[in-house]
Amino acid sequence: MMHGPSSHAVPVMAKCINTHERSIPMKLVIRSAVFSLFLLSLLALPSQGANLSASLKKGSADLKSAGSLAFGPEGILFVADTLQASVFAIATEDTTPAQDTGAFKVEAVNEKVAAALGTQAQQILINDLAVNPISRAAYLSVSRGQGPDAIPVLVRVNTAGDVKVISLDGVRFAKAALPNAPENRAEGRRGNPRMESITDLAFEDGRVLVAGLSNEEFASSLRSIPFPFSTVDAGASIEIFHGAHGRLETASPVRTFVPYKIEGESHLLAAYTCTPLVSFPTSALKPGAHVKGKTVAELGNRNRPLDMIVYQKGGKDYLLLANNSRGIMKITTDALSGIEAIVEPVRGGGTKGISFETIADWKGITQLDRFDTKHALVLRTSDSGSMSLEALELP
Amino acid sequence: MIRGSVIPACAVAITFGLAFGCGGNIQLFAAAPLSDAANQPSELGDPTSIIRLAPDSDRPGGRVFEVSGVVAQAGAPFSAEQLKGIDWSRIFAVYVASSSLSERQDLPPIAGSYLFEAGILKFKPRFPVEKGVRYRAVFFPKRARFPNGDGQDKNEENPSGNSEESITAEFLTPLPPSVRSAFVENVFPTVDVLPENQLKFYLYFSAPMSRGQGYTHIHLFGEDGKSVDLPFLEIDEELWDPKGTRLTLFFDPGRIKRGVRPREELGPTLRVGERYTFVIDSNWQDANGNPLIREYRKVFRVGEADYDSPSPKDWKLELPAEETQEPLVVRFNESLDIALASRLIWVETSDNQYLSGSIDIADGERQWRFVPTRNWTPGDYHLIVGTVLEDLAGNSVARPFEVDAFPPVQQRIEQETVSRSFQISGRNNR
Repeated sequence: MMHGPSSHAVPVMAKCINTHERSIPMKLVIRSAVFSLFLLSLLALPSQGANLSASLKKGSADLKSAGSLAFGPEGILFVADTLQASVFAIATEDTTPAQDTGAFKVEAVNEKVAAALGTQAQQILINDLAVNPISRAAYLSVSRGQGPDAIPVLVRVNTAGDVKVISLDGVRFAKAALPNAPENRAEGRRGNPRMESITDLAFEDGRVLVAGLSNEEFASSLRSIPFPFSTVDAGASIEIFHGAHGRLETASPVRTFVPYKIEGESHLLAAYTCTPLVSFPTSALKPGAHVKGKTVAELGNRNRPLDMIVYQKGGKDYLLLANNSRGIMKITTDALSGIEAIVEPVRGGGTKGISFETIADWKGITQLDRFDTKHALVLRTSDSGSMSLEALELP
Repeated sequence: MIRGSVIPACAVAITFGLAFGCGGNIQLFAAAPLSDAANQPSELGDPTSIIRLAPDSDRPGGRVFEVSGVVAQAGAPFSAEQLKGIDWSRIFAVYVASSSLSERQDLPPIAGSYLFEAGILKFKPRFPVEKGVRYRAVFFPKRARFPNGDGQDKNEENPSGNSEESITAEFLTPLPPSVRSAFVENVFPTVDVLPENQLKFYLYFSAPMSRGQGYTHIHLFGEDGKSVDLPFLEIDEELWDPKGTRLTLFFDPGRIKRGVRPREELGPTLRVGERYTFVIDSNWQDANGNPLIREYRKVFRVGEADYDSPSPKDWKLELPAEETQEPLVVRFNESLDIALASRLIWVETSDNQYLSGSIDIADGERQWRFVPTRNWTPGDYHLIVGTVLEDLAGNSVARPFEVDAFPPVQQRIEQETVSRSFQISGRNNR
């Protein structure tokens, strides 16, 4: 999360210059021009911290579904609404800093959330988890009901296990509609059945990054949407190719991704549905671009990625990746900058690229997010179907 | 903690008090339909005469939990501001009484808002009251006395150290009998022989289905009757259409793409020459929680992998006669993706106007038929094809599923559509 200089300061200083412009000598004019350029450069920075919340307008956030979640600055929660092909930015107003305890354990969280929603655990789906980096409260996106008419709900769970349903009425929010699929003009009785599921969200450097997976064509889209949201331009769709070893390239859906800096440059580490872990510079995300990723690791069979976070320990960066065999992989990233892309097929069960280990005692993890510098918050499912939210020390 | 909201217009409260005495903990389990519980005769001491589940006058079909018998006593009316300050959930709260997973005691009250008018305290659940869920409504009479009329509870909650007096009523509307009505209408592609690198299935249901359980009810068996291990891409989002009647099921792309580790280690999911049975079991629940009428089975054989893009220039067009509504028939030289073929092929007139009509995909997804809304008129037309259109193996018109990164460069088309021109004239004979 990057905070740019406060844009509030900019007009104040600009006004100062204007009040003197009639009497200033040439040298000062030049200085002023240079200073103005400096100010313009500040305005051009994508992240304008103090203005982010102000860009949200009060009203009813009309979510039709609630999927992937990501926090931005100032307690702003980004929510993916697949049914509306939209991303919502909602001001949670949850901006009281947490005390640094590192403790968080809430048993049977699915039953508690269901109870608060007036129903039973088997009637809800917990779709994603995000930790508010300021308050360290857990936010869950939930479907109440399991059919297409399920009610989307956001809930906040604190360390005491209190479940609070987030009101979507009278909240400050903004909505960005993603570019829609071509219209199905020869509409049949089913209407247009195409949807693009938003499989992951992240906020970085004043942009919301959105990974999508269509339920028809097999293609990856990764959109970069400037925030605060502008009115029309909802970002560009970008196809990602990863060098699939040797001669073949394939467009492939990204399952989950995480922003990460390699030698000071913003990159995305993206885990694909077919299990390669691919790195590419965020600057390559330009409208209409065909971005070629660098395959840096192969996760292998049964390691289909679900969620990832980046953290530091002992001065080194690590990547933690949950996968659908419900294991957790810890991946060393310090070699990412120098590593050569994998360009040969990986045969015989060998591993190539950056090294990783499986964390044996983190079982049943389906969601994870950073909790603090030393802990991850995980959603863990037991064999009985009961789910718990736990802060676990980062391995 | 759920804080109630109070409608300021109802400045009718004077002082909370009870016109009757009753105590103890759970008084009654009213295992009766909500309507019966709501119509209980009012008798002092009967919890269901004090706590009722009543229709919500603001929401058709909605229900509210009410505490009645809370009568006005002498004293000045509360101001709206004072009413706002009351934590109503401490006085009256409604809980889900049980979960099928466990009998937990630490479940929070259900979310909702409070309204106090005409001596009746109403709790309006934020979400609809569900059939088959047992609700426990608990009212604490002592907490509802505000003798000073200042909106603050001056009573000690539990001065004696004994359990505090409460009135509890439980409500349950039984689920209607399970009625199986939904079934699998079809699974596409319908053709009997699929390429080794078959990319996806579309599962069409007759009614909206439940989410979150699909993959447990989908099975693929080999010739030996053994279940194929993890053949499909399982993602939490489940790729449904908006109506919940079509699920897109991708085969595991890691077992299709050449050179990635899952395929290198285990080989492709489908093997050339073998026969497979795809089964959807009947335990899959529709959106109402009812299982399917019957299981679905589809048997198919596996042919050679397909690495080539569909080629619209090689399709055969069968032209209709002018001044008729005969179909324009396009015969592909392979089966195509039914969803994309339905959406990405259309007809335009010579001046690029979209021609309305109905589309039908037939013959194992090898044939596209178009019947115009009005008779064909003589002239030039264009058959437009979106280059995103894929065959069964995910090769699109624009590019194959896997592109050879080095020469020889394979066909890659950058534009969004390609077209074929045709002419309708009196000479067309089908």
